[in-house]
Amino acid sequence: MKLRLLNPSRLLALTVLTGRLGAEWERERRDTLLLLAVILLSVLPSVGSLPLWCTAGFLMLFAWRLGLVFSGRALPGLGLRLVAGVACVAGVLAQYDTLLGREPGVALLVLFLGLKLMEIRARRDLMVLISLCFFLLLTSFFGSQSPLSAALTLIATGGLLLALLTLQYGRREVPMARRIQLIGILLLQALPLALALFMLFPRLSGPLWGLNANEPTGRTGMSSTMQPGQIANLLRNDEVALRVQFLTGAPPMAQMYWRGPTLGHYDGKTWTPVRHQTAAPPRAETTVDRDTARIRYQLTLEPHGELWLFALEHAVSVPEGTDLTARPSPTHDWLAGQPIRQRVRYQGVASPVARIGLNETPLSLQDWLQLPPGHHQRTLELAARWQRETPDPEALVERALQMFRTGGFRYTPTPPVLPDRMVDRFLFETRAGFCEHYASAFVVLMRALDIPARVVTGYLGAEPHPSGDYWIVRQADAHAWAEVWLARQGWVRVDPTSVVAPDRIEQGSRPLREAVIRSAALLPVFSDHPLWRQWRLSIDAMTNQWNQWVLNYDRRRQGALMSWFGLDGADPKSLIGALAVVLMIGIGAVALITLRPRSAHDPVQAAWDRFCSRLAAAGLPRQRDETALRYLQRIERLLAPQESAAAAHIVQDYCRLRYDPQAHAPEEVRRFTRRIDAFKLH
Amino acid sequence: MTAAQPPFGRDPEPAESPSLRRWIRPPWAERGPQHGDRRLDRSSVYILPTRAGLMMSAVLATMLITAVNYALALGYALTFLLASTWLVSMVHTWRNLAGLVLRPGRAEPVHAGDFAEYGIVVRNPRGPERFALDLMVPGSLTPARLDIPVGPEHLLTIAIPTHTRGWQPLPRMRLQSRWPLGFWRAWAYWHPVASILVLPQPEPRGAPLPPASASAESLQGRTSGDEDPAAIRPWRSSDSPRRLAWKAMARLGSEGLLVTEFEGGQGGQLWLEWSGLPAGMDPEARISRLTRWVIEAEAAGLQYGLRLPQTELPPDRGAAHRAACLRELALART
Repeated sequence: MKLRLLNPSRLLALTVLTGRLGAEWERERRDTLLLLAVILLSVLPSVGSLPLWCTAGFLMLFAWRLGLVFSGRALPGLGLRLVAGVACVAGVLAQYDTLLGREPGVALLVLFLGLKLMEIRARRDLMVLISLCFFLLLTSFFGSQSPLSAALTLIATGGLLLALLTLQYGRREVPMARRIQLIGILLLQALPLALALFMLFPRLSGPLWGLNANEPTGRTGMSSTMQPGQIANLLRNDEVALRVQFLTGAPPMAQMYWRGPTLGHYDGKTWTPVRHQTAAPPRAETTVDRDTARIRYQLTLEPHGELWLFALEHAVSVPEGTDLTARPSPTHDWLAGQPIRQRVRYQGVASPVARIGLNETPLSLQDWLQLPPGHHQRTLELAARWQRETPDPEALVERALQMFRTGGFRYTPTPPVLPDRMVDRFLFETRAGFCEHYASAFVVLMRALDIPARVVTGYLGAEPHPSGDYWIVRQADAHAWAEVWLARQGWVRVDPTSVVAPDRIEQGSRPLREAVIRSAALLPVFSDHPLWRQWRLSIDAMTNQWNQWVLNYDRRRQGALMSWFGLDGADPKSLIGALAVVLMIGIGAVALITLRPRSAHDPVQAAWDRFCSRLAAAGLPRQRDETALRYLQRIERLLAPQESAAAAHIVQDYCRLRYDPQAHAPEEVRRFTRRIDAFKLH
Repeated sequence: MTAAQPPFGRDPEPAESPSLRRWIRPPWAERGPQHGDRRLDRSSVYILPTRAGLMMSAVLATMLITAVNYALALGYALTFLLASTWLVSMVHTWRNLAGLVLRPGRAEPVHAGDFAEYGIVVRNPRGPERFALDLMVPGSLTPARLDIPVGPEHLLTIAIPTHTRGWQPLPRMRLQSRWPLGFWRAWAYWHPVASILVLPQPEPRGAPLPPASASAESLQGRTSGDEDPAAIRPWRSSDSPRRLAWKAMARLGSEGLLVTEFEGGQGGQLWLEWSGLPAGMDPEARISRLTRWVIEAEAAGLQYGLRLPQTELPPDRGAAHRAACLRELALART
């Protein structure tokens, strides 16, 4: 029996513990430190998408609070907090011009979290803080949903729950390891239900309310304009742009042109989409012989926040995907109905020999002859000279390519920067450039020759994954090439880069990329080491699985899963029904476990019962009203001397374990159990 | 001092039919005290979300709406994981209470207005260890916080406020817990059949003890006191020779002189009488004064008797006598 006094007057006593700093740390202070640590942990995943000053502001408030914890001084007054609050709102307004929307919202959330740290007075404030943190963890997924951020969030969630748990213990000291263990158990027990909810909760195909189309996505990648240096900058960008699974055989890498936006308007520096002069440009038209081989593929496009869809040249049918409506633009690009804000997957069919744009008219082709005046004097002179020699467009194209091939041109991602007269100086002076320089100069030259031409941006090549399942296209594979319109052939792809740097076409961007990375001394040794490559590829395989099974778990996958169980996956009713069934099963299981009668958990009692039943089997049952000592007295005479000595020992131990408050050591209990197990009646 | 007497009579005639009444009342409505051990099982542990739990559910709803709107797959995952944890913690909170067995113990009598330290026995036969249980006693400001490890019997003492003299039945107590996450509050009621003897409050100050009657008969009566060693003390120069305890000296073989202990050197018997108090005095004030006198007389080592309208306790002294006198005063009907 344990005696403890629980007087109200004693509740004021504070448990103290010697902290690492050698000072005495009250319980409350340690709990506050734990809370601060988990709050920092939950702000961490959002830091990447916050403006720098916002992070700095939060850290300042955090450090202030930490200082108050260490010094034990009082929290700041209302006036100071109000001023700080107004400053935060003003800062967010200055940054975003609005308080509404996703990014200002997250910034405000983080700053208010910092301010709320200054007014922890009651338990309610702690709940508010922790709730804010849970919500903040959710908003961190706007920035990244990688496995890493998922792991970080899981840890932070556990930390927040740990803080909640610690609050509940009151003054009782429970070791950290045990608290963590309990949180682990809670999360594990919650997992099945969470999984069921995740899989069965009906998914919507669109947002509940309109998203602001201009919301910055913060992603790097292709853009709808092109200027020198832009694509070269992407060379270092390792991020995956899209993944492809070829359902028929994969084409050679040199033919993997992933067509993106087509640019036709040039101002001497920047290429932008064409502004059509003609009222109605002709519909995009693709001509393909019935018997030619088609390439079928499934493409998973990473979100880029823009409308365009990348497709293997030349698409012969509309890319098809669930929740995706693709439409062709007059320039043979494919556009989605709304900005791609989540990963989309679609199937495409391509034919490398298809011809496009046979229906262009002389009027519509005028759009593709625009040149800014006064920028390309020498190019125009060159064009005039060539035109005098031959008027045949095909010969002129070949001649231009010949010039690139033999004119001492260099392919480099770090060409000299040209501030003005770019095409002239590139063609006649520096002769060094990256794909965008070549495409740009080639199109200008063609237009100077009166040949309709345009720049096409997209990706070239892909990296096969060793598993052989799919190909990866990275941002570094970004490319620009040219198209010229020739009578009876339509728009023909001409890639001037292919004559200057055939390796780029055939081997993809990797050798170049690695050279760039090496020269930038980012990864001096390992970048081309096979182990490093293997590592990166296995990471990517994991990411791909993650994307397919976690992030892309949408209506389609849900439907597939449901139909596997023989349910109509498209019907939310059947999903809710399935969810209800799973919940019922779960509740039943919990009820079964918790309500099941259980035998005594007390090892001493269990052992004693064994002892008594053994004696009862020998004809000496204990009477209900008999105490252990009385029982012993009664049976002692009836047992053999050896047995009665053992029984006396057992009864003595039993009484001590039951009635001596000091006797509770586990080894004593074990000795008692052993003694009973050794007790035998002959 | 446990008394097995129902402190409350049965409910008066119910206005509606009993079944209807039972139907209307919430399951946790007062049902009167119950005998024996109280086992907290599934039918007697109630659970509802706390304010924090409701707030958390609102946060979860907001999170779900955000996840739906922005199609955040991991947002769904986080929301559902938290929601499931929220639900699972309900089972844990419930289990923190269920399976406990409570048994009333006893309390030493206290004067009205003091806290009675009431002993209870809590058994936790099935485990696991229970944390952060609050035993709420009505009238007590702070709940007693209990942590109950696995084990057969734990004796705990709770403080129960007292108000008026007499048998005070134990109030209906509430055992509740928010452990582990504070999202749910599980509670159970415990209303044992047990009472605490509450002694009258002694008046703070007032008339001194009445003089003792020093009659010869009463001196004869003190022989019984002589045999009590506690009533003997060494002689002091101010002691009257009449009080020398010859018998005790002979019996103990004492070298010094011993005297019988009497206050005021009068060696008389003290009757504390209800009727001896001023005529117009309020009955409770009389009891209060008599209580003070009993305490003072016992402290002074006097022999005192108590005479109340219904009962009479002959002069005596010692803890048992004092307790008997106070008990009579506590239970006196006025």
